[in-house]
Amino acid sequence: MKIYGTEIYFQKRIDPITGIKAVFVRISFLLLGLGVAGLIFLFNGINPIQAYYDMIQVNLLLIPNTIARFIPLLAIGIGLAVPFKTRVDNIGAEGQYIIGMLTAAGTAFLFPDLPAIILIPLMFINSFILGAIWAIPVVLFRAKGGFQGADVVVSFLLVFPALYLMEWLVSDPWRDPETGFTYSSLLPVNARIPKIPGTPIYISIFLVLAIALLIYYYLFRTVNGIPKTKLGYEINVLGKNPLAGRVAGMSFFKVILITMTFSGGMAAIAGVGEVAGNSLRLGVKSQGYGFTGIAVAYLGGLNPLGIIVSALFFAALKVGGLALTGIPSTVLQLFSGIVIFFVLLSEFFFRFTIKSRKLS
Amino acid sequence: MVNTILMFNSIVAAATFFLLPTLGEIYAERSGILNLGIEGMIIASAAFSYAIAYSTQNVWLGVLFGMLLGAVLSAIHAIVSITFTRTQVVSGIGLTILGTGLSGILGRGVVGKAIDTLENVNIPILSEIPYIGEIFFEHPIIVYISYLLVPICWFILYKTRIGILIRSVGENPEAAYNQGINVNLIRYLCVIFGGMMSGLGGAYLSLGYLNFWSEGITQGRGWIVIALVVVALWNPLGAFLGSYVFGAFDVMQYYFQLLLPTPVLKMAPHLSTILFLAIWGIILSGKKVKSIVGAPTALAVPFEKS
Repeated sequence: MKIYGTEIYFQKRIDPITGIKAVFVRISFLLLGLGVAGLIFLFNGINPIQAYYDMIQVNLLLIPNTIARFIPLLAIGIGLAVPFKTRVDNIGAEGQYIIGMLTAAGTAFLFPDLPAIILIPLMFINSFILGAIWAIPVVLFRAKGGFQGADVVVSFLLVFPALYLMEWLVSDPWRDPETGFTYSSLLPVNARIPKIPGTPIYISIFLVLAIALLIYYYLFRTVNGIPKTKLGYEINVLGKNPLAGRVAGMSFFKVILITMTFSGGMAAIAGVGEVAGNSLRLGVKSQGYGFTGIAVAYLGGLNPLGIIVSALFFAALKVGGLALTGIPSTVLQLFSGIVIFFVLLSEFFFRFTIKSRKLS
Repeated sequence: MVNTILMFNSIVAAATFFLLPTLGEIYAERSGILNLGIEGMIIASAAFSYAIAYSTQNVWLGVLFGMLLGAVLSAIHAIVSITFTRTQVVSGIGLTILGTGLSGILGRGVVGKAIDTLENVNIPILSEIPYIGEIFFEHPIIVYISYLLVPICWFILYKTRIGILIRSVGENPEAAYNQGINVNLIRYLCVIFGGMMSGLGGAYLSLGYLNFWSEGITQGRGWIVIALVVVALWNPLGAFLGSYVFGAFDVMQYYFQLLLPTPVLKMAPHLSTILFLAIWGIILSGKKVKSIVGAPTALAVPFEKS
């Protein structure tokens, strides 16, 4: 690009930025992104400094609430990072999450008399299975779809049948007979996930954190830059160079089937926690965690340890967003979109620098 | 009979909404850039054009600003995916989420507020043809523009030098670059044209078709557009056919409420899209078919000048 006799061009770095330095680059790009969001606020007549100040204050007051919001975001983020690594772009986590909520509620309504120690694990297992099944069409389209982006389109389109199914369930068969409003009855007492006393944090946080660490340990942990396990290695190779992986005899279909099953299941688990730990009943609308989860996964660098941090960040945004009066609920998606773009740009600068030279 | 004509009339109205962004996306994909941000661009410009029309009391100013916003948003995708050579899929997803977020802020002042929207203009002689006239020629002007755009887009893509340049850039960017063609410039123009068409589609949605603004107004129809480009086999004439088929699916949910339960009908557009994609996916997975159809080979492959 030439501007006033000076040429600006990109130069490949000899050593790409990695490790702790990459974290700093990413954080500075994140701050730039927050600045851009602030500008958008400013153009729409909202004082960004006041808004950010309010958001921080609310979070300091409501730390337990932030941690409660962190649970579904972490589960979805971890679930998405694994298929993203193999370049399967599952953006339908929202649908899998809703299916998880429906299955959990359905299981609870079917067996309200089972003791909690059996009922709650059963809800998790059922939801994981149905969430995984909901994700399988994406695998088929990714492997056999015949054109670019089929997986993305199909995974998104599958959100709507799930949403309309929930709409119908709460407006007819599961409608609360006591109030008659379009939400379901409260979940039976045995189906409610216990909370840490005095806080809204339900104890599936330990399950989700354990899964995050296990996934890190088994799939992402590297020795000299090479993943330690066979599956982790295959995910890495197929994501970076699918052709090389296939030539080496790896089954692309098998690997993405495993990753997507896990992804759908994790989103569903997030749904179980939300309905049995937080809201205790189904409503007409869902919270949109599935879409925020995409930004959580990318901001975390598709690494479970990074995702723990980025899920906390987005949970804080979510809780802080409640503090902004007169701002619609889509503000979280505004942040998510901006963050995705700035993460993409930061990845560019891991590998390139901008240089300029005078043209004579 | 009256009811049937009304139904076909509303199929045309719904189909126009699918047709406009599909034409734009065909150009973007023909030049090799997959823009998955259609949904975001449509919903943001639907909100923006409604808000502008509300505050200026001028519908056409609203349409214009809707198109401008579409162009600006698509330019973000172009910068990230062309200049910075980042993954087009992720950038498009980002654009969709960003657009959805923007729509909430841009439209927050006009939720549920009524304004004068685009009026139906009856074309003098044509609208008097029995049946046909009532179905095709009693619509807002944007619908007529869409009729004209189909042959124009087809002609430019297949019969002019510009069209050859666009298709060669999407087919083999290296070869085009070595011929001295400015690959990135052509891709930028095509993506921004796509953004303007999505903006026009969004403006039409809120100002000409549904005549209101509320959050989540698109109901994911932007993703159907991306499927439509495939169903249309990257051809403007195919886009015309496909849009009318999907327009029919979209309208059916209001006309068959007595026959089938509502949730099933609401799912119809999305499920039928998935079904179409499955059939097309099987057809297109053959390499021979792909070359006959002319699906852009370099689609979604970042082009780095070596």
